Amino acid sequence: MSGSPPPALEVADLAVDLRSGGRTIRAVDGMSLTLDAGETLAIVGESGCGKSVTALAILRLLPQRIATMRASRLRLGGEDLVGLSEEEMRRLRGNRISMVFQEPMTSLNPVLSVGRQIIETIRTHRGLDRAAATAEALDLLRLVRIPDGERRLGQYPFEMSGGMRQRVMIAMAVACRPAVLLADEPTTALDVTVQAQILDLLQDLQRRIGTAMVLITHDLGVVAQSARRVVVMYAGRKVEEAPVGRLFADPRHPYTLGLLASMPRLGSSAAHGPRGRLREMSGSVPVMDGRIEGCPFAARCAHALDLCRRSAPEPVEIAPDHRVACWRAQERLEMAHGRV
Amino acid sequence: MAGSEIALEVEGLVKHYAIRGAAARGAVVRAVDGVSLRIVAGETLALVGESGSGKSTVGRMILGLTPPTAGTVRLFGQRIDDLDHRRMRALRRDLQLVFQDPYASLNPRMRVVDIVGEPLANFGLVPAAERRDHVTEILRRVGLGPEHLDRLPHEFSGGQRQRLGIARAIASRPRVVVCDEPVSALDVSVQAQVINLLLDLQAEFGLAYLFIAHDLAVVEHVSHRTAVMYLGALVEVAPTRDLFAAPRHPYTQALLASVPVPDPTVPRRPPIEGELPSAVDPPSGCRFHTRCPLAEPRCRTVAPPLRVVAPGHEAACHLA
Repeated sequence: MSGSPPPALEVADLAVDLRSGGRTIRAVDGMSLTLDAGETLAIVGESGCGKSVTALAILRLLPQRIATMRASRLRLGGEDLVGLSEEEMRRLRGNRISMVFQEPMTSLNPVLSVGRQIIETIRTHRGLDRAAATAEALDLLRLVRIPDGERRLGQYPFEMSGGMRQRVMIAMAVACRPAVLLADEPTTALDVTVQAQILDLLQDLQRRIGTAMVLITHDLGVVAQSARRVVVMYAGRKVEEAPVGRLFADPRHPYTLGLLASMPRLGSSAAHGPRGRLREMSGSVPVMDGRIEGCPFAARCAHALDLCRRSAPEPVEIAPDHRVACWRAQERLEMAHGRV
Repeated sequence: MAGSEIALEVEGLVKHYAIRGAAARGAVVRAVDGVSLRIVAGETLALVGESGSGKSTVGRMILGLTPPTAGTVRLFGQRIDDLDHRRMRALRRDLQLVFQDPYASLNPRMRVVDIVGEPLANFGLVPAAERRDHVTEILRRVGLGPEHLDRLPHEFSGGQRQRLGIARAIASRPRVVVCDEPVSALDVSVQAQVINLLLDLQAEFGLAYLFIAHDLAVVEHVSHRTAVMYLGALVEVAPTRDLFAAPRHPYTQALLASVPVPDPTVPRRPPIEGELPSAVDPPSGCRFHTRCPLAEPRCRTVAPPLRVVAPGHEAACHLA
């Protein structure tokens, strides 16, 4: 190490097996990521791709009854999390690393006032007395732009709109100024005008308190507008990773290309006239019981070779910070540059 | 292509819900407050808005699933809002629906052949002996095979289940289909397949769609015209291309500006402030004035009616 600070979060070779009804599913396979201090990394993918399981595994929130995980490296700001006890993890969660979920109604306690929940969080982790914690709670509500804080502290979750509840969740998540915030579809349940407000808020908070964020989403629009780097997941694996500008300008994995091509975009009617057909990706996501031989996308891929069906490609760096797990990425790159 | 025969016409549709409980004192939720719409045969009209805008309630009133407080619904000129249960059922042959959640709208214990064959039996369209063949043909049309005939809904993926829901909806050869968020529960890669299917079926059978959705990019792709609702009322109705290229109502403008653009070189636009006000006590005058960046004094007192601002383009704004 040459004196540069360690990454805020480092994950290498994370694998998670989930057991259900006698079957075992490899939900996450060979997942690695590095999150620098203060940056936003998006993980994008469709349902079942393993993006949420990755976050829950990092926080060790998957029930041991059904989940088995292992990783060759799991570090938070240089500190190894692999050997930590349950008690030590509990002290870390909500403190140095915390999480915001999609549906705040299911993560807030419905029978406790919002104020009580925020104040408890502050007292648990920061050992403040009630008066100091209450003052801090009011500061937090201002930080997440909830007006009329005194009144809001006395309200119950059901008395608030979805957007306000998500602000409360965010306030609790950042109460201890965490180094890392894992946000799992934080705006998916919200209307589009409220989503814009919450994305704006998250970015503002990051600037103010220097939190690094992993933003888990299915929405490529959210990725483009919020993240610095992006990881694309498919069937439990990382298929592509790049700085956001590069991923949108020069996507290389056939799945990423398919996702970008099949999403409807604003402005389509002016560009192509209304009611143009969308590009379809054929087939659907593979069922992940047992191990998938070869590349998980091979069955849907127009470029697949025999090799792709036999052997899974590892992510390979094809440009600075741009990694692609595709046997044909290099070849197609050379074709694109006229070298073949 | 869209003809000129009016398939569905809604006039002054209103839905007020009384709030129960002692504290309510006769308060009502004004879920829908005077909505008028027309859809011609073969046309797709999209109805967009955020949660609480009343768009789904409009759909439910058209389908006879929720009785309107006031207003009329006409299907090919015939009034249908005042029909009894038996006559409404008969009319279902012509007016069908596709829901958001195929999981919740398919009977989990029924096999596919019976789910899709049910409308054929109910309306006496196909003799029992020929039903299986007929269902096979409908399944083929929505991209499913004969091997699916005897399966149960849980054996299908989300996208396939929505194909099933669509197969059931088109089985009786309806002329109007109300689609309520038909692709919102689907992943992007599957969403495109289902959107294309809906476009193909419309071209083949001349269906008129009322397409209720919150996703503006999807709406822009599928619809001929788009109507925008805010807090129970229409704020703008226009040909889709005009509405998306040159929105006239400040709410439509804010809505479009809020959609995250999948292009990192496009800077994010500042969000509009505030949240949807309560439908129990909606703002006076223009309902959007509490959040509108352009609001003037008259907007607080005088409700702007929907008026023509360009050919085929209506907006409810004093300044449009």
